[in-house]
Amino acid sequence: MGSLRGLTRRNAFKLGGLGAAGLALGACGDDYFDPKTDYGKDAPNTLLLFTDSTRADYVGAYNPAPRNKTPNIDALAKESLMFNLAVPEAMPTGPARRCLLSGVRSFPYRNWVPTKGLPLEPGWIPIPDNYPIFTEVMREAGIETAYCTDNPFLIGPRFANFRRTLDEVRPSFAQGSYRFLNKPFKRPAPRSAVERYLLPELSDSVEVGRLRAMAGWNSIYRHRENQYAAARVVRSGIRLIDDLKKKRPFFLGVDTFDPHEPIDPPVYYLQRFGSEPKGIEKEGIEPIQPFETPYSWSVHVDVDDATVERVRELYAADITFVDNWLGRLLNELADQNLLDETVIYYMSDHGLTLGEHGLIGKHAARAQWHIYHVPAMIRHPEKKLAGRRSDFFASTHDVARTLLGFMGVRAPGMMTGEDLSGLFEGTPPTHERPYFTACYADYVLAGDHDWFLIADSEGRRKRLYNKRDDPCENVDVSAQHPEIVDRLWRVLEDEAGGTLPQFGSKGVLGG
Amino acid sequence: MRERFTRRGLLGAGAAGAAGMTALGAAAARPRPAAAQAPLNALLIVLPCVRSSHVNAFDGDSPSKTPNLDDLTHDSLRFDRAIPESMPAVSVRRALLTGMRAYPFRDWRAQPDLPAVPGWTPIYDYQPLLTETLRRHGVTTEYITDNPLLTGPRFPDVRRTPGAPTVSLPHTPAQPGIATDLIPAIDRARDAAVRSLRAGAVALARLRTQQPFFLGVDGFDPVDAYEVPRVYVRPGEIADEGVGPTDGRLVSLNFGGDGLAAVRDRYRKNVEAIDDWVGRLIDRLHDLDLAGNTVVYLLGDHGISLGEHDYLGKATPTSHRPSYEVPYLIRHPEGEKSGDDVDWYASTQDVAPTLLSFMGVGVPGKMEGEDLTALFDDVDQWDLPPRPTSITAIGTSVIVRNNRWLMVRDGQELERRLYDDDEEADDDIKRYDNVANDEPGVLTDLSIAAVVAAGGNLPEFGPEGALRPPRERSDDDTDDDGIPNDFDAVDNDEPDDDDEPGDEKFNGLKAVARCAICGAPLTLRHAAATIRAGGRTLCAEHSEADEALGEAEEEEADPEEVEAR
Repeated sequence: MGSLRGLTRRNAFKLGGLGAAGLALGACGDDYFDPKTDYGKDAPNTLLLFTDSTRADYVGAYNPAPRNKTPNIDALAKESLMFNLAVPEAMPTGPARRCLLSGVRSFPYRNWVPTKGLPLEPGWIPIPDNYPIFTEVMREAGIETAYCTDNPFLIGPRFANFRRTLDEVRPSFAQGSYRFLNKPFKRPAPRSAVERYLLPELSDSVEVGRLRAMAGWNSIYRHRENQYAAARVVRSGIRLIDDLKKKRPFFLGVDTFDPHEPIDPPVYYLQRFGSEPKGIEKEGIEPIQPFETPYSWSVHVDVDDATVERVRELYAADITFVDNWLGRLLNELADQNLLDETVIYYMSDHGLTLGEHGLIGKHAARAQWHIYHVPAMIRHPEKKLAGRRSDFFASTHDVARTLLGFMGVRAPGMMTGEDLSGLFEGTPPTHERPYFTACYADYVLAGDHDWFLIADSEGRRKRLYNKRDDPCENVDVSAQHPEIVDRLWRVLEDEAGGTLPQFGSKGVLGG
Repeated sequence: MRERFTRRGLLGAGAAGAAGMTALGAAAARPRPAAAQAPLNALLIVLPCVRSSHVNAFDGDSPSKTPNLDDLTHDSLRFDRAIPESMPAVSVRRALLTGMRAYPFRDWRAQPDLPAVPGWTPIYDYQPLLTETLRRHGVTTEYITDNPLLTGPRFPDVRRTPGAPTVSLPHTPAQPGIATDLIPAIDRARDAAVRSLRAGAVALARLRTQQPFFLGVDGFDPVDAYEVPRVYVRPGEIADEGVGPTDGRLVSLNFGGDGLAAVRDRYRKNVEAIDDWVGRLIDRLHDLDLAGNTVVYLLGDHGISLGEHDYLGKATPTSHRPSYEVPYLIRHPEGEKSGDDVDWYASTQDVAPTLLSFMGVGVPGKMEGEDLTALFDDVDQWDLPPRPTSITAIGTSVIVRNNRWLMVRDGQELERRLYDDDEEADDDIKRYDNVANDEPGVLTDLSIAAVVAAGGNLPEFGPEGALRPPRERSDDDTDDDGIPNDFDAVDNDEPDDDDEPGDEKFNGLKAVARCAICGAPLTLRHAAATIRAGGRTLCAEHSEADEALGEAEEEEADPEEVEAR
């Protein structure tokens, strides 16, 4: 592999020439659009795979008896270092993406201000101007950067500063997007077209508009499986790989919004669950949007168990669908002989609640194992640590620093994640992380492999769960173990810099 | 070409080839030492209470003669505008050793035996440590200081200097006054510096056999840990600005003439004495043949006001820039960038990441400082991560400056003073006029910079620590499902008939509008759905796609109204 790039003296001379040219240009004061350096010709490529709303227990590598099959992610996991308990440091989608791209912790949302065009929930702000963006840092180091996504926020107006840092952007509007956030699509389907998706309790909610946009878009643009949202994103990714392989080293981000709701995988993936209608389907309603998003109001499930089961099946099928397409992307990488010079980092930003605690949806107050436990794995180009598992609490803010570390680029000091690339050289992270800490709206989460604390950021409603005895986190034992509650609360305060902020309707009140 | 700057050879590239690659175009690349190469040593020197204005190499008009510091500076990369990110002595050490900012002291919790002033905290257990990280990677560490807060199992390498004064607790501060308090404090700082530099020279000889080593020589007066330095102001000249919640920090003193001259003279001599001992330590480094593989990182911990603009003392909220600026320099073992100067606002939190990077150890993510080894890899200072302002905190005061302006924000009074600190200006008096009322835009910009650097807001302090505001939300949970009513999709509330403004919470579940037809209260989410549907706010019964129904009802309603008339 050393000779892969022909690291010969001749090459070094060529580089010298380029460097001199760069310097000359710099002296002319005309280097604005030129990379600052020619560094990185011997760096590996990096591929970031990100899937929204993916629960770890629906991935075969994490759950030996999953409801569905995820052969491709499992195969990736076999060649990767897997993180047993990866917890995104801030949830849901928006804050997680901000942290992912900037490497700066979104926790504890101290800088939140209600922002037009984003959900009115603590944590939802664009990437602030003073934050670094790792693609920008890479680009300054002369690395080609590309990102393809159908995430309605990343393709929306509030993440324009991120898209500007990229060499190649491939947005996809296949989700129908959130109309009231982006307005990319002006032909929503009539109400009658979405009647069959609407649960009774959502029949007068914002979901009507969302489903109408989605159905309207899909009635025009979606006839075959490869026109479904995740497939579109992966297809852009495959095309990008074709371009990027001439511009190594490159960074490519493939960020699919699926299996986010509406959960409507191609019918093929549902076949293994049988064709009998279940629960509310007998009344002609397909529960593809079983709860409201993005505000994530929890809906108490007054539907029957069969309907909950159907929602789980839909979700499982959607993950299998995404997995199938991720497999195609990885195959393309292998076909182009890029697999042994590309670092692959796979992660998700949060899960969702599918009937646990009698809830469906995502609610901050119930951001428990089904929401915070996501898959995360890193595949080293030489398959170092393949199949190994790490107990380190990897999180979204480690991604930026780790990718920069793999490519040999200095990370700005504001990026406070750990550089996990050192793991592959036998050096553990230079500072332990004995606890994970996270936040979701105005709730804060902390825990380790034994305990899990969730509370609102004002310190009320502290609930403690013993994860060893009660892995499903059903029994609140905060009254029995006040000392552990206090310890984890102190961890949260320390991590937030001393105090946790308090939120009001106009933003942060203080603290 | 320095082999030390080789890439890790991730793809198995030949060592020579990799070295060539990097040396040619490594600006953004992070140096990692090649395994075979002997790693570097590091010598960190912290000079207590030394202003850069008293070092010739930093300020040509320096009143003191500092030949040794000048020589060292000429061999080094010099940072002209370094100000510690928080002051005074205790918090400087915390940022220095952890690489994390102590600003804005949000994590201050009143400590027994220590002054109840924001910033007076020992290093917390969760913070990374420069020395600990180095030890883990096989570096011999030794840290010479009399700082009594560096104790415990995490500091096995701390050496106390012989002859350090013992401070009994509780410490009784001296009587306020130039002769009784300030001059002894300056002298103690000098003695601490000399003691530690002398011990450092001894330690160097010992460490020579234990390379790679890290040696910290940190002059620290133990009294500084237990006592907040007083600030002396000329009566009538400075308004009574609080400097912190401690009593007695601000003392009016009719200084001037002889008293001031005595302080300045003593300070000048003390800096010269410190300079002499710095010279001896650096000489020892050369004598032991360590200069060629040892990075020297020298900085002052904080400055001192010497009566300029009516302030006297350490860590004063004055607008006098040279009172804060400290000497700050990095001497590369092979003399790279020697004699160069940098305007970038380097500060205390950058020390730990830079030294770790020099020694080839991964930087813990929690360290927020920048890795300044980039400057030795030909990265231009303007291509470093931007730091357009330098922000520092003293107690509850915050001082922000950029390349022209300087703002002092008083935490208690919420008063902000702004000064035009244009270095080109000749009129020294004019530079220190408060122009806060004339430049509101600049004032706003600098205030925002302070708030952004603090993560979103600046803390307010009570006697025990940072305060939290009173709650705004209720704690009711009628159906006891763990979700407060305000956030529960299930409507637990009593019917709400009044139109209190407080109802308009952001959560979208309180009534924010009324149906245009029947007058039923509507929540935000209902309203959002229906406004889109028809441009009017309608309740569930009257809205949505079957607008025909709504129109029909309206038509039905109209005749009734006509009849009523």
